[in-house]
Amino acid sequence: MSPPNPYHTPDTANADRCFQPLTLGHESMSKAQIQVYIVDDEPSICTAYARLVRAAKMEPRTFGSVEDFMLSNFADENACVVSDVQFPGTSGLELPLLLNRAGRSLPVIFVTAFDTSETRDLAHERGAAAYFRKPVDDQALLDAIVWAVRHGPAV
Amino acid sequence: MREATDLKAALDEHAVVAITDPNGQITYVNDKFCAISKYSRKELLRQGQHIFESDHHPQAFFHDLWQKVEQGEVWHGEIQNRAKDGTAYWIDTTVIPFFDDRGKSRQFVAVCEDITEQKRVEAELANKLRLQRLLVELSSRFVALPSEEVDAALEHTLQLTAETLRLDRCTLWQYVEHLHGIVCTHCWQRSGYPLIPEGFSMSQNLPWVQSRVMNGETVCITGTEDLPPEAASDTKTLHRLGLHSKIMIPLIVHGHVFGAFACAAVSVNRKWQPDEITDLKLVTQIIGNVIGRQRAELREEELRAELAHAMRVATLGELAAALAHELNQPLAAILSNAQAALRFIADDNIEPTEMQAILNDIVRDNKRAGNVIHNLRSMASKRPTSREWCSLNELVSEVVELMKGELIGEKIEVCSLLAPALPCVMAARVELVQVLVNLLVNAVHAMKDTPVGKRSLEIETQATLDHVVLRIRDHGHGLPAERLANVFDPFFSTKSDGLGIGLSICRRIIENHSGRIEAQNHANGGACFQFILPTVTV
Repeated sequence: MSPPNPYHTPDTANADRCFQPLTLGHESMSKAQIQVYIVDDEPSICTAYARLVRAAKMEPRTFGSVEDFMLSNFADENACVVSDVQFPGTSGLELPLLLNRAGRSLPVIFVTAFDTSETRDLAHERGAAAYFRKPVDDQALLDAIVWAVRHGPAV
Repeated sequence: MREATDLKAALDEHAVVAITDPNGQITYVNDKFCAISKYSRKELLRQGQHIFESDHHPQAFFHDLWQKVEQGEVWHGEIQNRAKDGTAYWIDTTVIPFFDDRGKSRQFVAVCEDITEQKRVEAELANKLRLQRLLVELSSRFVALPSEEVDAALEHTLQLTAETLRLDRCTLWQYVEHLHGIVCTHCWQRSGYPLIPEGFSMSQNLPWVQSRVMNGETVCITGTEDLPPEAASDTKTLHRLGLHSKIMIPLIVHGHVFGAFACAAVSVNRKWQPDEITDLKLVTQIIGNVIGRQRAELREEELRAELAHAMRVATLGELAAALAHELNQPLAAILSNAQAALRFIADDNIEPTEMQAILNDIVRDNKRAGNVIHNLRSMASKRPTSREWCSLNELVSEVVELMKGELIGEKIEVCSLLAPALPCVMAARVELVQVLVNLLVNAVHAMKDTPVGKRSLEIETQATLDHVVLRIRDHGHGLPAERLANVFDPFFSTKSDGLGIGLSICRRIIENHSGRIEAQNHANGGACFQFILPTVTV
């Protein structure tokens, strides 16, 4: 079964049927947990995503800004970033470029409350693994995380 | 002797003459006396002076007269008498006492002159003078009268008019659109006179009078018999109210009738003199101008409120994207929290404390979203806003929160310097929010061309002895120096797409709160707006 493209247009981005729910097999359970780096300047959002990630048996870490995340000690393997787009400081859209420049290979999923066609196009162009509009449905986000971790960043 | 007869004939020709015996009983009257008193000579002889007495003079007046003449002095004065038919007449009277050899009073001779006409003219003149004084007083009274004092002044005007013209009741009526008729708005009446009955409707009870007045005609009724047959319903009402004479003059401004000024005599028929009608029309004109001005101000106030509302809605439209963000944030957190909880429960893997934390967060975010909606609703609301104690610091935080999306989107850094323990102000909350949103939106627009990284906004609050000050400084292009003086005028705008009405509404709102608003350019660039509001209500 070929995995569906997680890159969605906003109109269908949050529809459940877009993803065939992927259940995490025993093999991934036995492996190290997936690391999910949540980057959002809104603490309540960070907390909520972190709970969701934990409920799906993955391991969350939260950051309030792009800078904080970039300065942290993060893994490339079996990991993924779920980031907001708009920040008081560095834009989330800079993340794929910064990672690339740092020679890191880590998929980035965007979840934004400011959904414009420019943002979407730019996110696509910079190789985002997925793009969602807030509020995002749990299954869609979790599926995208699993898909992104399996396939790595689109370069 | 011949000479005396001639003299008497001449006197009779010229004057009203009566002679009484020492007891005051009439022994002689001439023809002129009979003519003026309308009694025959036969009816008068042997009568006392009391048969003419009107109630105009107090008893002491006649007592004084008789005492004087009995002491041998000549009495001179003006007397109002009543004729046989009840009408009053005035005589200028000289009473000369005559005594016999022993010094006992023999007879009293009264020589009088008819001054009724003179008295009437005098009274009319005095009346005219009073009316004119009233008119002068009224016209000066209403010059620059604060609008909250107008009603009291109008009522006083009604009282003055009624007292001057000796009327029982003066009323003002104004047209009310949805009632299709005029209703009494101001009333003065002599104490003891019946009030206008509850539920009295001009259009139903006096339809003929109302239609005439609304046509711009003055309705003048001395008695109900003046009314034409088609005014049958009006006649009935006037009878029922015991109303005799009535005058109703339309209030007209710019050719538009919007009410009437009415005067009434309740128990007696009253003839409306042409001069009086002219003067009453002048009174009406003065009142009309005042009420016309009041109504225009009211309309203007309504228009301003509508404009302010339209501006709020327009601002909301402008901020729609940012506001959607403000709603989406809590909604996103709520959804993820709830779905996480569902997953924990499905796995039967949740600590009660974790569940509690999730639910608490959901409640908090729900309230946050509710607040955003509440703010939107009050800004979109058309209802007039009531005043309450507001903290400027809270308002600043609230507005910055509301506009967070917009500010972040534009890469603007907000630096708030809020004075601790800032006193509250009595204000219409949503109006102050509107001012703040307006100033912030302006600042955001002004910094469109400012390099990212230099886009900062300083918001400062400060307390003085009895005022609070709020200052907003941006780092934008500043205001053109030559137009600093009129940035608050309507239609001034430095924005190509703006109507330029926002700041004029801000000024209006602040001034309505007894404050003032100022604009200047900061020495180090950017514009600085500040407003000052009193913390003590005046």
